[in-house]
Amino acid sequence: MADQSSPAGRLDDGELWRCVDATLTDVILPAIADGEDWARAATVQLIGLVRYAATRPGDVAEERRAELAAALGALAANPLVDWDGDPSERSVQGATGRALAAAVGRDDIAADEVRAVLRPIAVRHLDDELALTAPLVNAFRGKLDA
Amino acid sequence: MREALQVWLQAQRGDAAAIAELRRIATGNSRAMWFVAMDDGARYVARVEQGGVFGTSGADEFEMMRAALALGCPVAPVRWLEPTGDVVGQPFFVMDFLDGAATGRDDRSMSDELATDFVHRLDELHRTDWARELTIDGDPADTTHAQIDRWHRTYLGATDGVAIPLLEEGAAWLHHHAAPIARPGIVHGDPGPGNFVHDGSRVLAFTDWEFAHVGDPLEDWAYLVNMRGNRTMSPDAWLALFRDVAGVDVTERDLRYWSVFNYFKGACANATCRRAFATTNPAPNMGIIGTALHQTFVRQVAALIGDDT
Repeated sequence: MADQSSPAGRLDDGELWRCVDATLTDVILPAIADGEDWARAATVQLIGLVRYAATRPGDVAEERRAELAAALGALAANPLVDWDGDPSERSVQGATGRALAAAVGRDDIAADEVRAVLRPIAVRHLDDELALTAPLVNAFRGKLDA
Repeated sequence: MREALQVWLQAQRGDAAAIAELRRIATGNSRAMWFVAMDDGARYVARVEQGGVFGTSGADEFEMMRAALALGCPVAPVRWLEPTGDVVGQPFFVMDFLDGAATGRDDRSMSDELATDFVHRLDELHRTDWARELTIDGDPADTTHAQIDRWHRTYLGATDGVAIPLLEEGAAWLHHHAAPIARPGIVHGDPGPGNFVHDGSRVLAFTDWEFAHVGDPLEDWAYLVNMRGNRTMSPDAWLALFRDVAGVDVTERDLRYWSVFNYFKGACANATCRRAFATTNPAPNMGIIGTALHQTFVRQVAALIGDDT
């Protein structure tokens, strides 16, 4: 939405994305000649990315990393969890991956705990991200939402 | 690109023929496909890499296509390989253009006659005596582990070594449950509608060989059922066709294992598009494949594994 308090002022991001979307959808796309399938596919995909950029919320990677780090910390006594407390993305994701991998093929309390605690967090984070990016799949296939 | 490609083609052909037509063909994401018509009537396709997309190389694809042709499999003859990237900015190879139909981007339909021939020809590819033309490292019966490791390395290379926990779990699950390969063969790796040329009832050529390798043919059968062929016919119809045409029985266990493998492979390959988008290839399809499609495949891996370890 435009900043109604300063209509003559700086263009805000929402206005700019709306402009790009409308121009691609109403001007560029209809002007692409028949047979220019690659240009048409790329334009539809670009419109999908524009709409994604215009509507997505802020980056929550830091919150997700912190949630995984807290879960790893709570599992410090679990023999399958190998984490030195380094809160960096590389360390947290690496420790989570190693724990999940180590639990594969095991049917014991430690493995069950890893699967019960870490796996649901990783899956939920993925599902939350997919809820935002799923419309891009339609754009990839050449379809635009109304 | 036109001038550089023309000079290079003249050197390969040893003549002075000029490019009469050059246009991009709107199929495929891993490679840019350019139709090339020369002024002497020769027609080619230049298959150009896209900045490391999918972690596959044109040189490997060229070699696999050459071997498949020598073994009598339906494939476009490959002509020349340019592996350096010095000519058009990316490595590429040139193959003959084949007349025929290929299903459209979103058309996954096949007539019964074509589907039958497709399964027959794919089975022939699986059963061909690949060792006459190809050599591989290690025991052919053990290539599944090598393939898991290959895709694992591919995704970690794309993320600068930052792990994706659900893919780490997927790799471990695949290693743990891998079975010895009963009959190693040439696996196409991406078979199905859209990736072969036909005349309406018969396969003329399999295309898109970048994922081809020696391995377990079950990878291809499962891929048809759950991925590229999943809008062509029902899983039961595919499985019956495999049984009737090729004598191949795909068990429920096989289908699950190789579905996990194919989604894992897809997730790992797609991760390379995120890196390409940020570096060498900022095209919309790279951004989407590297995020939404990658995440979709990771989710499928997690869903299929479930809590069964």
